[in-house]
Amino acid sequence: MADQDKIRNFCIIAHIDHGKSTLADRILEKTGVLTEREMEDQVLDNMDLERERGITIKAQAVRLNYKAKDGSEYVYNLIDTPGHVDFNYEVSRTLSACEGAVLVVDASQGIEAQTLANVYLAIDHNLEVIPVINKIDLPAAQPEVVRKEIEDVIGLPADDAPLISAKVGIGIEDVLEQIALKIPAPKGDVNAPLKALVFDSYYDAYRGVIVYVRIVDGSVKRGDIIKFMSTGNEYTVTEVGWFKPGTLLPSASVEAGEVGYIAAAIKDITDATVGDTVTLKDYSASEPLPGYKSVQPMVFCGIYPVDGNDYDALRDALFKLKLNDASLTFEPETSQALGFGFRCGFLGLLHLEIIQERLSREFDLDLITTTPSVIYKVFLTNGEKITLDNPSNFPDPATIEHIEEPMVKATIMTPKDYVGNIMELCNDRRGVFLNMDYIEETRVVLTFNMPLNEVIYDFFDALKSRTRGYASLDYELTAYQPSKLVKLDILLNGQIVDALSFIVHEEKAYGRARKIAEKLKDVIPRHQFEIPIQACIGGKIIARETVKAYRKDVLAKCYGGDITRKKKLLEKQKEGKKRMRQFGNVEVPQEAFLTVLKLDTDS
Amino acid sequence: MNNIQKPGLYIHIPFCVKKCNYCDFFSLGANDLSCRSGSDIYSSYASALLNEAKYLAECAMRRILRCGALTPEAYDTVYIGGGTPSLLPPENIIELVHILRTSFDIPYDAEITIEANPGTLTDAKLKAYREAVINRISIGVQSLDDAQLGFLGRIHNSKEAEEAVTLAKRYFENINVDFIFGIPGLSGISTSETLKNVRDKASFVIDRELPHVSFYSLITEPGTPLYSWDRAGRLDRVEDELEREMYYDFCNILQSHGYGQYEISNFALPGFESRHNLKYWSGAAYTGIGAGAVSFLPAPEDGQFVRFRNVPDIGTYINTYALSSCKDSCRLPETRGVSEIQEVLDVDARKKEYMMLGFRKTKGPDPELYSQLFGGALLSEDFCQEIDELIKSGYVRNDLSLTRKGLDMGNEIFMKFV
Repeated sequence: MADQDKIRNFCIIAHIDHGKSTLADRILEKTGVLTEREMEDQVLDNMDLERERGITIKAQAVRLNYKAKDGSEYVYNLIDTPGHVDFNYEVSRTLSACEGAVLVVDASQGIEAQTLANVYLAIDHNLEVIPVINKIDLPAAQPEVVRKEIEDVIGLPADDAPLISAKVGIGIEDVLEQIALKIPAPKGDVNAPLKALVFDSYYDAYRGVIVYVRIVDGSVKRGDIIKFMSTGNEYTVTEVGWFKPGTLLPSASVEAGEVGYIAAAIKDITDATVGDTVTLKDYSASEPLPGYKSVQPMVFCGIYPVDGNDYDALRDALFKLKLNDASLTFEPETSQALGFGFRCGFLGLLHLEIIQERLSREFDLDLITTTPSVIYKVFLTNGEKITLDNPSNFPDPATIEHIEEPMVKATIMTPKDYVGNIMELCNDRRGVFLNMDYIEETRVVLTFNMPLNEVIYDFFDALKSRTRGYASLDYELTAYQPSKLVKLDILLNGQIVDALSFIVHEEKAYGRARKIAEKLKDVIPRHQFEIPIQACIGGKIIARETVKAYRKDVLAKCYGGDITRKKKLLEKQKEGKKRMRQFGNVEVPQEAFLTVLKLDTDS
Repeated sequence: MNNIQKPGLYIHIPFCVKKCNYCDFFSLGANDLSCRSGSDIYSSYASALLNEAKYLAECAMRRILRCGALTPEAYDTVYIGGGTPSLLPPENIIELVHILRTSFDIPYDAEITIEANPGTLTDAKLKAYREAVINRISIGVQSLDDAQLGFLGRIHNSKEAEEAVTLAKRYFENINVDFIFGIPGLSGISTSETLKNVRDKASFVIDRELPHVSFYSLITEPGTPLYSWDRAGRLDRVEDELEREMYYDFCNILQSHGYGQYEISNFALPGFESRHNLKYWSGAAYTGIGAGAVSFLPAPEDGQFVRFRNVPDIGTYINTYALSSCKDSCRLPETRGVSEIQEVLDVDARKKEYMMLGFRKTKGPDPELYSQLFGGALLSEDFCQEIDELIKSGYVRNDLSLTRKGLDMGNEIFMKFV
């Protein structure tokens, strides 16, 4: 329990690689939470995956004590946020839990796309933003230029922005001091009914779901009966407390203004969803906090074990991931080509990739992922309506009256120089231009009405590559709209591989088919015979490629020192042969199923 | 050791002027030797080599005393490889070979090879090698096209390579040159190899009457610059079809000039096949001396062999053998100094390896030698099914020799025996 005046709740926002995690590490070190010896670099990014990709997937929080120069003791709650459009909603909830944000800008790179996207998001949430200029130790650093850029482009006063090097440890004190001075204290009413914002949660095998909350009003303690306002579900609190790096610290209560956790023997993570408001059963808030929405999966695909014997292991792994990820959904499905697997739902393509990588890394599963799909509504001539998220269930075209597909409103923020490129890209993805607004002299916001099906493949990557990384994207589902859609099948050596089938707009079918055929030609290894690759719609072939028979596969060199290693390589090759999926007599590597997902028009 | 084939002796010299872009052997370029000056480290390394050789000889001597064996360690081939052995001062090489001769039983008709980089070869060095009674030299020419040499990261140009070979011919009859083929271009910078390049290579060997040539298809090994360029999609690769055309062009030209192809990548005039390298493909034992060197020796258990590797670290290696005599009681070779066991092979594993390596030779594994090595076992019985499959798939003829398809698809054959 701490005096609200002395609490500072903040997050760090930055463009990727500008040093967010390094600064977080330094802050932890300076506030003495960790000794240098205990520091594992980038403590807040827990998962290997997060460290490698330099992204944060789950929000992380930590409570620190800071003694300011004026002698007062402060409690700092630092919350790390995810940084990708797939998790935009989680980001917005995390920001809602803070009063301020430390904006890290690289002294050599200056302001970049995510910087702006994040700053605007922070400003939208009424956060006090403290700009910090990092990496001043680099030879290419231009702190004064960057300072002016922050003032001109973002419009934030930056005359006293700390010049720091998180890597070397310069200027960290300044940052800590400004947090105390500039970020407003929370102003909750501790006597009002409990209102706690859920900004993250995870499943703990002993305590059930650990709910990350920001207490806006009131307080909560062990034994209280809490109520989730979106569902009305009630639980008895077994433990409350604060966050320490890598661990939880139980406390007597958590009160207005504080960031902490609640454990209440909650079995299912979907009962404690991000954005929900927690209140007390007997002293209940009349209104939940604003902004709750139930996050629905928007992208679906099949996930199959390469080895059919791993089916049970895959199911167990999905259940385990689901414990910590309310937005993941799955149900069993069967494919002629791939056997038994699961139809899974995701927030977006990055979410899909992350789950897939976690399944293979943390659970050591070899998987095949099918082409992702959105949910279509198919209206049949007999008046029936089908909801379709799996191309395999595509009905006989003769029975279809019409099909509707989900549309999104895509908002793209970009420096004005790239407007032409973006227009072209969105046009190509069947986007309809809605509006363009200048947010300042050099930056614009573009809005498009676009089919979700065009956004989920590789739109984000394509957008980044056409704008040198400067554009940022957000999208929200708007409505369903009739569309001329067809099912495209891929045949290898004359056989349909159902896992490669997908639904596509009639006009785009030809281009997509050609590109997929070309890609498959690259990733399907040469066999000892020729393999035709065909793409067809309802039996009509619209694209064809051929994988030539291979001509050589032989180690050129093998002498004494190398024999053991060469044997291992051969063992691996032998193993790899077994792991490939056999269709007819064509061996298809997992990579083939992945590469068809990424078909940027540039490449 | 078995009496059928004498073991080979390999000496590793892990120094280069500069590491090549395709090379994944253990070797350090001059830039990686920042802490000590080159000549310093060369002489410390050379004396460590001498000490390791002496130590091995001592061990062998004690075994003789203990077990009553009659002959000291006998090697009828010695191979000084690298790295770039020609980088060492010639007096180090003279002393090294001298110590090997006094420590082990090396007959005067033994094949003693040294590897050389054209950029480091001088008249004085060649003279010294002859003085040391080295009788075979292997020169890494790799390509005759300067753009390709640059791409491969070689330190010499084609003119220097030609000069080095001409010079070597004054001192050596038994000369090998190494060539690499199937060299890609770096997209947008240089073009990849053509058939003409390959024919130039063949002519180079034939015109100079060089008795041996190794013709290697370029392999991109993980951890090399080439590999990362490949991964980044920057390589303009040579297609399989063209690569094979190059290979068979080379084979045909060489064969029509009296060279026999005795291994996938090796060609020689009759009688000039590398005896040392043939040992690797025939299940023979070998001792490796030097940092990163590998040995394959009989283990105390009946029929077992062990393959172990000296530490691939020059500093550790030098420190281990800094003292001239080894005070430890003599230990088994596999636990000597700082070496690491890579593999222990029982009779079954040795048999399989014999097959795998035997099928690198154009004539295939030798059934008679097999019976001698494995106590009368019959190759045709032990691997009846595999051989049947290989013949059916057209990789191997009835006499176990490799077909053209077998030369192209060697890995399919090798995989049957791992």
